[in-house]
Amino acid sequence: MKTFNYTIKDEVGIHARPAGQLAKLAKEFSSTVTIEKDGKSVNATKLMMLMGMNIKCGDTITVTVEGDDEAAAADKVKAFLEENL
Amino acid sequence: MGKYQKDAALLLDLVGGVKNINAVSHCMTRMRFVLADDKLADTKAIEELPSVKGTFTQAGQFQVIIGNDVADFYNEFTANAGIEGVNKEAAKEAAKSNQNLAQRIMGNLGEIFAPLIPALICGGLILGFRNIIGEINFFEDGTKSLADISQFWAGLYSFLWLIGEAVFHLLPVGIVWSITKKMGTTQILGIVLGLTLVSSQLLNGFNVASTDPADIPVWDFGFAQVQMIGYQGQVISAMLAGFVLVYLEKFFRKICPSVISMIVVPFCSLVPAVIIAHTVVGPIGWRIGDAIANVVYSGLTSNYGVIFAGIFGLLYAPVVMTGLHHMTNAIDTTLSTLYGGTILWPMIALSNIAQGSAVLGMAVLQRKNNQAKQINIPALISCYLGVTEPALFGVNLKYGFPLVCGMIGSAVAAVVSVGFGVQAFSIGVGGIPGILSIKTEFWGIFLLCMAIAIAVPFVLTLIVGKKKLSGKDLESKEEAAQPAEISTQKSDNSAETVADAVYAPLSGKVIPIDDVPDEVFSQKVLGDGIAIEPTETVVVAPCDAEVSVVMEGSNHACGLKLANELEILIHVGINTVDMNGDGFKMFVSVGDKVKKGDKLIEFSPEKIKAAGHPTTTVVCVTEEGSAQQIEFSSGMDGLAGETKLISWK
Repeated sequence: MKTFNYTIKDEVGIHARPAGQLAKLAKEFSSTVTIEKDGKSVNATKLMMLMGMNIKCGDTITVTVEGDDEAAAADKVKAFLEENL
Repeated sequence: MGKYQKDAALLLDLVGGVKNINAVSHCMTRMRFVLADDKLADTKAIEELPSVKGTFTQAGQFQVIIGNDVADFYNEFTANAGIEGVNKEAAKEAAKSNQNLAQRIMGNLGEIFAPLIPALICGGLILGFRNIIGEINFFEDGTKSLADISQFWAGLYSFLWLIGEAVFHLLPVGIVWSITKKMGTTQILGIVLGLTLVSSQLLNGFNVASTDPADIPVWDFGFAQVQMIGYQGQVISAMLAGFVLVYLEKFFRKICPSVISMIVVPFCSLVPAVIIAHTVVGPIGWRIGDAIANVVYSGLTSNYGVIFAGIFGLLYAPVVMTGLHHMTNAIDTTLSTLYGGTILWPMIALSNIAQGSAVLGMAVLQRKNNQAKQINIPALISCYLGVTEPALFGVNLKYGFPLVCGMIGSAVAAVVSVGFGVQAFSIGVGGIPGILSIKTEFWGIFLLCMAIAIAVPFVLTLIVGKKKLSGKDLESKEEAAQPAEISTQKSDNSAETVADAVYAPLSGKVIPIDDVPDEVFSQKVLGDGIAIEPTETVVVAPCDAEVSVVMEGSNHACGLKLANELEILIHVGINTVDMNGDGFKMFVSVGDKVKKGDKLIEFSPEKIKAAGHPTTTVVCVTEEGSAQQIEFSSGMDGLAGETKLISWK
């Protein structure tokens, strides 16, 4: 299991576009990617749930990756977050 | 990109692709194909296309009825297929190989009259108007007409005959011209031949009967004399003369070396044609015309006239479908020149009205079926105005029984019309405006006939339709599962209902998601879907659902979860997230249960535009749940809560 924290820097937070991209990315791995904020956690492949988290600029999220390809997946997700959010 | 692009592309595949098309053209309402192999055309799938009203094969052509927009459709079709469309004549020419002789003759007759019809309609209206001002005695206890008491109207009455005479008495010119045009020979020779038939040097054909045979002028050739008789208003004589000319010209063109053809061919074809016209085919045609008119006229005015009328009224609509109805124009015109009026035309106008009324019945029955409505209403209007094809092929023939109901109504109206001897001046516009060409003294009874032609098919269609039509036909095709009963249940709150489709949350043009100016949407990263270019400012729930997501703060999007676990995202505008809620008002919050039509989001298009964003609103399926074979419909103008955008099984 891989876990890391990330603080959103993008002004508008995780809205439809990044949520969609993140969900798409998460689906590429066999590992389960979980996003957690304020005690609520969602599977990152669940686009709507992800959007429903209302993750805003300045929020810190905890990303948990668990599965066969967790190392690669965690790296990719982290790279995505840093690049886009 | 035009609105028919998608259908046109599909149609190309369904007719068997470019290589199966020998020729394509279009007329008022139809695409006309000559296909190498008719069997390759998937007629069933073609009829399923939203813009197609029906198909049929006639006269060697495979025809697809589109409606009044056919020219647009045709342009997109040919542009897409990359084929140069051929004109109607060429398509018909190509179709001849698939026709037998009788069909060919009938087809030719119809085509000869087609270019003359505008003039005939105009002439009919003029005669009708002259009749009102000059023949009906409105004044001084019914002894004087408007023209009798007013010099102005008298002048107009006299003046209008100039046009009336040109249309009807001098019609042979038009007929011969039309034949040469149709047969592809020299048109001016046809006009000249036509003029020799009605020249003022000749005794006017209408005065022959009243002239003492001894006084009829002759050309005296010494060994023989030929009577100088004009063929004013003689349809058959003119047609025969025209074909003689065409035959001669084609013959001489074939045998004559091209260097001298310019001198030889016109001379050798025109001179004998004129001689033959005046000595042989003219008199014969005259007799034939008289005989046909006589049979029809006495048939219709005899004691058995009403039976004949009933049969005619019954069968006219099916005859239209074969395209042979143009034949009646020849008979109509002969009747009106011979007897000053035609009994046929009123029945034709009534048949149009009757078929239109059957469509009216269908329109009432199918008022909840949006797909059918899009066909029914235009077909109805055009039918009442005299163009019956969309109604016949698009609606009545498709269901069968409305055609029969229309035929019955038409027959009843025709019997009444002929029973009272209703006459028209000539052929006129069809349908309801047809009354304008009816002789004024018959207007009262013709109105009654019209009422019959409206009421009988309408009522019959309603009665039969109620029994025959299944829920599927009455409602939109895909929404058969959600008729009115279920919505009543909903208001009882007796059961949780399963929404069966996602309707438009907004009114506006519906476009494919591929056309959304944003890659995340157009590449379906968020899921497949559909988009709307809104013309309204309130987003309503497109179906019964639970609100699963709202974008707090920005308020520009919300997610809905349906009972079958299908989830949709409604996203107002592109990139509108950066407006931080300015210009958006959210009416719901997560967990709310909404019913179709409930307000979700209100937005300000002005503010969205001011922020530099498109107002394009996307509806995408983010989770499919248990839905299968999800389908998206686009290309139409969507109506909030009415137009189905997403459906599934």
